[in-house]
Amino acid sequence: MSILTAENVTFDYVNKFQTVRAVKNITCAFEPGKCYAIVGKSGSGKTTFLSLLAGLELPTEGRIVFQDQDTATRNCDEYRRDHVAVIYQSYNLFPLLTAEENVMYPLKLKKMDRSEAKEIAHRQLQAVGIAPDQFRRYPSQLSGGEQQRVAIARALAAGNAVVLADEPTGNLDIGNSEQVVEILLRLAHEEGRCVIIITHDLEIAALMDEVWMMRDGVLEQGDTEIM
Amino acid sequence: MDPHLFHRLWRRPWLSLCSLILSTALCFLVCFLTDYRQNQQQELSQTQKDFPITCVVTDIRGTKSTDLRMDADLAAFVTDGPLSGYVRQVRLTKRFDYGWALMGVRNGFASLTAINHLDCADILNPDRGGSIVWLTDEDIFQSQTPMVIVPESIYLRLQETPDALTEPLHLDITDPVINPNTSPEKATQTVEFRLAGYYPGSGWDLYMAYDAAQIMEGEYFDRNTCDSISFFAADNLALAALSETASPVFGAVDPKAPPFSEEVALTIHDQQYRATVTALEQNIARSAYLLPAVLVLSVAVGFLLGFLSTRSERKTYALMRTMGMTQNKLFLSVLREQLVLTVLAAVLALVITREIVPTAIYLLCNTVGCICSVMKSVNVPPTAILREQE
Repeated sequence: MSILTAENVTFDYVNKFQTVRAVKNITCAFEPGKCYAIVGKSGSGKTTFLSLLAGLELPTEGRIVFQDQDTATRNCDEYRRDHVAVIYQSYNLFPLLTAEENVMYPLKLKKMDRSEAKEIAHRQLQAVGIAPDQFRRYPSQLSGGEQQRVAIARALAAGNAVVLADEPTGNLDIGNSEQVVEILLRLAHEEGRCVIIITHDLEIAALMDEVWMMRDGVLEQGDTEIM
Repeated sequence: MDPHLFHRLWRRPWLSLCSLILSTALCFLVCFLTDYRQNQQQELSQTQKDFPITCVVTDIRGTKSTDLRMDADLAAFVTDGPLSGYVRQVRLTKRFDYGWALMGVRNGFASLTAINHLDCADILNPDRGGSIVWLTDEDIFQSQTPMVIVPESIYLRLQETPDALTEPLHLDITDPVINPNTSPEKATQTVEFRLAGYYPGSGWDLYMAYDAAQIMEGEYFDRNTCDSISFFAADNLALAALSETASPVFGAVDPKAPPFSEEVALTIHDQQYRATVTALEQNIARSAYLLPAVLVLSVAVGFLLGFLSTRSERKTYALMRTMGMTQNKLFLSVLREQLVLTVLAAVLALVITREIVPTAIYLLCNTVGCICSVMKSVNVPPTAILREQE
């Protein structure tokens, strides 16, 4: 049963000079416990579609439905806080907060008790392979792979049902990329989350449960075997 | 509470310190200008009220000389006539020449000056460093008896002379306005004086009370004149009215004679007063536009410091929004952070200057600037985080 669906979703970028249709009439469904990959070239509309799924934008036409409720009728701030977590290519950690504080941040937004938030943060950091002596380090003191793992821990800490990852391995080497993908797959298969990854790495896409192709704003189901 | 609060202040100390110093300095400036303006206004009021403007009655030629045709009637015009409402502390003087056989002073050699107030002679005026040792309890300015104040050197000689201090002093008085060739019988009169006191010094200058001198002049010389009449303006703001009232009064030096000149024989020495008032008014005028300018600067500084502090945080704010922070909460969180330094600066200024109102006004202006900059800075769509990556 789907947790997140897109129904005839279209999105236009409008400015005073032109209108660009980035997403064209997409209909698809995403289920919990599965890992999805959306592949496509740059400019195909993958990130735009991700932003629609994350509630960062609302569709021009159609609707995004999460747990049978249209995101347009939801409180978007609440949706982003309680139901969706996003992992970015460039990690996007808060530079002035330690690794531990970064992971605690979404929990503080949910008004969780500090000690409880700290406990969850420590657990998540260890789950992604961050050693305890690194908890108090600032992002600038961590490697790229460690930063991305802290970002994943932050995304997971709130326990949100949907995890969206935009090119999570884009800035990582092969070793770290494999570790990150392994964590994401574990999230889906063992914790039952719905994980959607945007990537243009076909090797990573091949590891996912389902692959979708994005081409000029149109989403089509891809064939993993052909890849 | 947003865990990001204070982190930027603590971990970017130089920016925070510079912001604090600038904000505190600006608050000091507002307090100073407010205080300065108030002081200048008080000083202006005080000057307009108390500044001593000397008004001197002269003859129609505009100079003081022994040929003045000033007399007791003219003095009465000043003290009791139409000008009386405009005058304060009238000073009258009259000079005689004298000879003193006991002291070996040749007739007409030395001067005896009649004054109606100690201010008329600096050497007697305690406010100007002068002093008198009184030898009588009687107030010589209220007495009609001729009493004289001598220099200490004469007093010491009198002490050495037997009975000189107990006996009346006989002085041969000459009124300079009387021409001895035309009135030889009135040229010199011997008058008995009592010794009233002495002043530190030497020489032959003696002083007596003006009223007693007028009686003496009338009795012995059949005249009543004075050498100079001057006074302080009672109301500095009414100088124009004083001058207007003085014109018909002083059209002729002798009010009993028909007016024969349109010259006003009253000189109002108000140049220093006007210069002082002008300077004060200019200072007040300058502060009148300087203070609003500084307040506008406070708004601008509030905006600028907020902008400098938050301009590099656009991505951070977008990230916070993607995590579900509401726009309002983000605004309040960032504003709180920006206002910490503003409030701290205001508290510092308040502790030192103790000026509540100007500090509060500065705080308000700076806060307005902060709010504007924060409103601009946090107005970031969540999708900006994705565009930052591209």
